[in-house]
Amino acid sequence: MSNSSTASWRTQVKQLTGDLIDFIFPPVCANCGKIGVLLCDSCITSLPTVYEPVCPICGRPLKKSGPQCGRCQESPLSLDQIRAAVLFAGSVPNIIHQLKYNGMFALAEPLAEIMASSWHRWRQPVDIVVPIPLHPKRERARGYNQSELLSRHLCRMLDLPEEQQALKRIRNTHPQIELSAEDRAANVTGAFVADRRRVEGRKILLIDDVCTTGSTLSEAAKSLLEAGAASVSGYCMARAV
Amino acid sequence: MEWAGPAVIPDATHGLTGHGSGCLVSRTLGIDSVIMIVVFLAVGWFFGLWASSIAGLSSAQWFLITAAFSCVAFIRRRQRIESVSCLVLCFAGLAGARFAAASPTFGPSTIAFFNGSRQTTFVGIVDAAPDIRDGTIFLRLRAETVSLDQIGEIPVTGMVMVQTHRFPVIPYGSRVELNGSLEAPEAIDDFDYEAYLARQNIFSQMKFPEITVLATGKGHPLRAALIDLRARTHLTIDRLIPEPQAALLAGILLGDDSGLSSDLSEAFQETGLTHIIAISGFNIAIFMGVLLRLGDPFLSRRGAAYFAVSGVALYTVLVGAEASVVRAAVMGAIYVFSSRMLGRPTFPFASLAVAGFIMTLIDPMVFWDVGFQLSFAATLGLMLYAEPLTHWVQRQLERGLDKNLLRPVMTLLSDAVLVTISAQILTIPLMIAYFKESSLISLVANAFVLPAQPGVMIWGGLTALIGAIFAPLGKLTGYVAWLFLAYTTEMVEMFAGIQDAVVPINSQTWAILAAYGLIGGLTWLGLLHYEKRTALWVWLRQRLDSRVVLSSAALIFALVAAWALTQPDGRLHVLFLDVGQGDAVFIQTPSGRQILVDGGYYPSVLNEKLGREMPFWDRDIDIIFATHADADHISGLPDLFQRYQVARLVTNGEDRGVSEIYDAMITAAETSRTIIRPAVAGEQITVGDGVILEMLHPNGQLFDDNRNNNSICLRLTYGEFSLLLTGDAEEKAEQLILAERQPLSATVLKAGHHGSKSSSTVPFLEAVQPQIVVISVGESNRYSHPSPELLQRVSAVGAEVLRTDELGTIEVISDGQQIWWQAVP
Repeated sequence: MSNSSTASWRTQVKQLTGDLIDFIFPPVCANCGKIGVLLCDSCITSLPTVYEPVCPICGRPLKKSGPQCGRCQESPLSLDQIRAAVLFAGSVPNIIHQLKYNGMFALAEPLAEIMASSWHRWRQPVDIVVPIPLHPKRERARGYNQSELLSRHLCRMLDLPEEQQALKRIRNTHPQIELSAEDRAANVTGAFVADRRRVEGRKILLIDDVCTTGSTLSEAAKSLLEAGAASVSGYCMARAV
Repeated sequence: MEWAGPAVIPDATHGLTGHGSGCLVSRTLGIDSVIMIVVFLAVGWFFGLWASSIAGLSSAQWFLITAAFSCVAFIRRRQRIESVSCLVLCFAGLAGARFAAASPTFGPSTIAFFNGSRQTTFVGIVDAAPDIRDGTIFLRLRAETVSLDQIGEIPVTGMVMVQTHRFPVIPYGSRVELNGSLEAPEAIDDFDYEAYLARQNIFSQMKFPEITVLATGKGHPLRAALIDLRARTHLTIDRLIPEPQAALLAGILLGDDSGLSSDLSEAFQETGLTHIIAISGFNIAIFMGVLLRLGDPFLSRRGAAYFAVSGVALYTVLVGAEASVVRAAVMGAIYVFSSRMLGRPTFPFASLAVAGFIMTLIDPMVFWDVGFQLSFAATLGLMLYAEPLTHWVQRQLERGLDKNLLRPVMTLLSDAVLVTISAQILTIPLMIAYFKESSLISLVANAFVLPAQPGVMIWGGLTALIGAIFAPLGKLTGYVAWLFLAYTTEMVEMFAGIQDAVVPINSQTWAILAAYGLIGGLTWLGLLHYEKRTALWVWLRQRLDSRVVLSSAALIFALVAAWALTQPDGRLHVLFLDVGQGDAVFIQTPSGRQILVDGGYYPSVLNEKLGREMPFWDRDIDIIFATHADADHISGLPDLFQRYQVARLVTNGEDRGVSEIYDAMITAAETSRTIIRPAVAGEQITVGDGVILEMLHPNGQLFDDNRNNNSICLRLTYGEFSLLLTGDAEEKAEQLILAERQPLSATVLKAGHHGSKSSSTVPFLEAVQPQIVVISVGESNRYSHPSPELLQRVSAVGAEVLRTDELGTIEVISDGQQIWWQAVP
């Protein structure tokens, strides 16, 4: 009893400090500049949602539904399926750029909320949720790992078990954004190592911010499967078309 | 993701967040009005501070006002605009109460209570690092006890500013006994020294007292260590870098510009670059940026932010935590906090409003601090204009420039030019209001000098740091620092050398307010969305006839033209007004400040003559001298105090009762809150532009039974031009002046006593050696002035005689080298 009252007292204080900070540093919409919220309602509604039909494996939007897309046939991914909340189009590239490169890490929360609201459409099997890690060097330079933040908020919202330590990045790879589709796969080869104790026999959901070719997710999945994971699927904020 | 409104004012915010039309600002700007409330409240708060400084109500009365408005706000909580306005006024009331509470009261337990007593003995502790100037030292003392004759020592509180001899230096923390005359500080010419000290909570001063050091090391040990560290750093700089670059570096790094020569200081002022010699937002921003960059490779984004903020905090403490530095540091910390810790974009105006609110809450006097106002305006300008300006320039450049070239060009432009422009848009009117001049080359000078400043700070800082540990290496970095510093001084001197770069502007308060109104209006237009701007334009066109627009444009043009034509022309004008039998000399300085010496007999004549000469927009007269109590000199004056705002009246020290007209003048001056001072021989008044008024006579008290001999005598100098005005002084006064007040030489002399033979005696004329003698006299007057004997004496010294009875009003003009004269029709 007393425990719950302290907890509520704490949340109240937290709420109050949050209000005070918002009062002194009012948030501005990261996309359109409107004052009041970090991502305003009209910007959220204008985000390009992913609609079916999609490729049942890589999640790429397709003209008509079918078994799998051409690319997945050519070079199969090592995970079961990839899904995303929105398309990497419209204002999404800008918002994600703000999140990753302009230090606007607070954006992870509203973005995770968008991911949470589209979650019910995909129903992926999950035992544990694992964010795609950044190399420690890069994470220190950036101050945070956006995928980890997304995953943390998402797990809180959907009440999923989170496992931050399951995957490590051992090679400081070039940013995928600079590379062509062919080079991407080579770039991330051997970049990850999974912790067998944490993943063995589990159904794993990988979280990433953007999925373009799927190479990063695929490479991470490879490591997880090698370490004995039962299955691996991926869920991203945005899916490049 | 609903944004939770602030917990402070639920009623009003509830009303505001509702649907439908918001308040005017939110509707037009598309801004959520809940957030704007912070800004509104801060505006209310600032308004309250200002109102309280004028109204002089007590805290309790202000609380009553606050309570009344909060009641109205509660009753009308459903009406958005009304309730918000009332809340804003509530805040104004609170600000009024805060200011009233901060206004000092001087009870017998405060040292200021003893102001004005001739010989005071008190004990105090030196509370700050001694401010060492060329010839003297200023010590800030915290008073502990005062010795009274009968009672003995009683404990007191309060601060005293003590001016003392250069040596011996009395260090921080010394307990000293002082014996001297304790005075209330007074304004020194243009500079409101009293208000300046009041902002530091100092209400007493003592000049050159007897000082006995009772003990040392009584200050706070940490403070003493910091002061010591600062002094050591200063010494390191002085050892490793030559002057004047060392003095400049000490100003930039340590905020101590006392070593800078007055010529160089002036050059900085003329080029609009003073902001780099004092530690200001600019320096703090560079320092913060350097620290962030230093921290980033080793620390996380947050870690680097903590590192930078604590570094700046330490630095602030090191340089003495002056209000201006604290302000800049707070602003910097807010910026770093919002950009690095919160990880989101924020509405910067609210932060600025809150920062301003907190600073004035802690110390309401800060609101009147020129530095505070300037940095607030500069920050606001940066927030408002920097980004749109950069975008606009980039768009323009994109059309004509190669992409590879665009980046470096933009970097150069945005740092040096665009940021300066943005900051200056809102500071220029303030600068004009305070310094009565505007530098035309400031922008160019800033563009050349600012890019070197990070180099100055980094290499200068390294030199100070390394030099303290290993001097030979410090010498090496010192060379690099010197390069940047010498570039700065050379540039500043070069730009200051440009002729006519500084335009004197004698502005009126309303003109400054109008300028801000105009800037505000244009900004508002600029912030409007494109469609709304178009809609406004259509709305205007529907209501405004083209004839109305044209005629008002013509009207505005004519007014601006008239204003421009009546601007001071940068020359000194001395007008001997034709007021019939009597004296009235009107002086206008190169930057348009006005001085009137006597006012003749007829108020209507004086008003008319003066009205023709004063610019139509100028309703201020800086000083009126009433040379003596005779009606032909001062009858015109009492009326003037109602028509013009007269800053100061100088009398010859006569008491009330000497004549009715004299009493009337004193009463009129008192009613219009003009400062009244007796003339003190030897006192100099600097009125700007190098114009100096020296009082020669009398010496604060009456000199002779003959009223004429108590006339104020004045010598004005401007470059090589000089003017001697002696009122009606006769032989006896002239003898005294000859004996005590050399040199007396003057280009222009107004013959004493309207050319009577009892004045302008031969030895006096020989000492003065005038080129022109003006005789202010009425046509065919009953005294037969001027006397033929006098005219002969004047021609004997070879001077030209100009008479107002023959020529009417006579105008003498000088640029400091040449003189011209003309009869004014």
